[in-house]
Amino acid sequence: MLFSIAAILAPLYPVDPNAISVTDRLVKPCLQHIFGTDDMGRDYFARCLYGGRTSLLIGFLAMVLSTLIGTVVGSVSGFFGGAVDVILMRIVDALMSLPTFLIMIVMNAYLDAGVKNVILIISFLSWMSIARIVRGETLSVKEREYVVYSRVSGEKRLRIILKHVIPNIMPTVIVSAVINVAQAILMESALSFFGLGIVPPTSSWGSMLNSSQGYLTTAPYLAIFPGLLILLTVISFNYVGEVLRKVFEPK
Amino acid sequence: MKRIISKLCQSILILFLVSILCFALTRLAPGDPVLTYVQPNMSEAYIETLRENLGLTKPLYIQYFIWLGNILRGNFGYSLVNTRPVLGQILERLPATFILMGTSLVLAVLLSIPLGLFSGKYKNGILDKVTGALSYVGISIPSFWFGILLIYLFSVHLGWLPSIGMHTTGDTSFPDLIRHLILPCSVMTFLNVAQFSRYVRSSTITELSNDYVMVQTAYGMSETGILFKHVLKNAMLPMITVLGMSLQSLVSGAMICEQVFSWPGTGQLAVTAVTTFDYPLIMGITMMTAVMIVAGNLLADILYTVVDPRIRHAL
Repeated sequence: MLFSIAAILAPLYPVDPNAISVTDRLVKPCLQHIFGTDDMGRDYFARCLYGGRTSLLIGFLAMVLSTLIGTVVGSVSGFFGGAVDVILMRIVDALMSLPTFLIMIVMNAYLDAGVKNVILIISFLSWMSIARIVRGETLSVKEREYVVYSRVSGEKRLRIILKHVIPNIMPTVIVSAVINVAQAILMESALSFFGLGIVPPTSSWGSMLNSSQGYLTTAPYLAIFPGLLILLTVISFNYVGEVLRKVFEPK
Repeated sequence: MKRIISKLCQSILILFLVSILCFALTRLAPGDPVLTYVQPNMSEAYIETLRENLGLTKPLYIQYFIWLGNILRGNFGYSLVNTRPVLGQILERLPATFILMGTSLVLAVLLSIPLGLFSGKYKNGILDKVTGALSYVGISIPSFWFGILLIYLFSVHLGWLPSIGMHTTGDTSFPDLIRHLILPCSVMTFLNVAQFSRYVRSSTITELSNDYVMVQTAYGMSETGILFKHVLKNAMLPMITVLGMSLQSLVSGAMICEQVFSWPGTGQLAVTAVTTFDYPLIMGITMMTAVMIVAGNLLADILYTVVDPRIRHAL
């Protein structure tokens, strides 16, 4: 949470992340630059803040999109059953059998690099598990009395899904959505680390790690800070997910 | 039996879908594959004939069936970059990946079973807390960053271990291989242990709450006896599924990890294939991986039925 707030408030930090200073190249962390400066003399703390904005933005938007697709596919598949269910679930199985990272770089190779496309690629590759979970939940909710009642009383199917099924599976969806943010951030950072996802001048934690590789011997802190930030962010999302799961569990 | 056959049919269907997806993904990509053959002194007409010879002028669905037919006969086509057979290229990378992933899988299983078992047994104890925290780190850490840190610490800073490759040039001895193996292998092992131990822990907790444990305690059987003789057996069951899912990594490798450590395995081959638009190679690797994923799931399903009599009798 703290990281999100920090990233949103990033513009308040008085140092321009793209300001180049020839004299201050590769300054070690000190009072003036608490994370030091990078190879072009840019303040690394500011860059980390802005990089975090990109990473978190991608994480959130990819989560929203993949949760949306997953919920729609899952609830439709679970609710209608029969042939629809079989077809949709086989598609999910097929997509899940693809090597995710390989497909990610293939897709990235023919879409232009950029924040929008990275979000699209990550969402496309991460909605399947949510769809499966939602389908399972829908199957059990479907048999509950009030849903059966509303079906008997002739309500439209779409309306039943929206009014009765979705609200009931919301807790599960939220938990997997939160964990999905963590996954999306990891995927983005890996992609950008290979110099594929986010390209300069936009920076994300992953792309910062990519550019820090050349300075491993002289300025290891350039690699340490963004990585640490990714780690802490992903841990906190995973943790929030776990806590939410415990809260929602009916025990 | 009926269940297994229906699972088998499902798997074949899935693979069929995967092949369509995989074909579409790679063929619809921009980057004209013919260009990799083109040299400046070739005439337009020659390029056209070349295109025809490569089968690139036929309609897409016909190209698909030709490709599928070839694959079923074990012919994965030829690399567009160096015109060598795809299958051969993959096979020659397999041993490296196998060494790396095999070692780390075995180590991960050996480490995570006792860790998970005792964390589950002494729930909320010190071991449980430490393992829990570490496995949280393990599932959240970007593997490439972990790799870089290890390289920095052990290769750059301490100079103990080589950072990249599989052998020192000219040295193919076993100790040298081990020295190269340590870093990438510990990354993969750590990531795997983080996952596996969570499964073992939670299934141990579930098993310990079962009636049979209470009955045996009442009969005066020692706690460790119960833990190792009975709980262990049952707690291992979810591991079958997890290992089934990991089976594919033996073939596909870990692209990220192999790339960071320049490990000459299939994962690295895949990354190279993508960056050079080598479609046959990409499709070959994707298909192999998909087959392994599906086979792993199928195998886990079958093993489950064989090992767990409860499921066997329920059918």
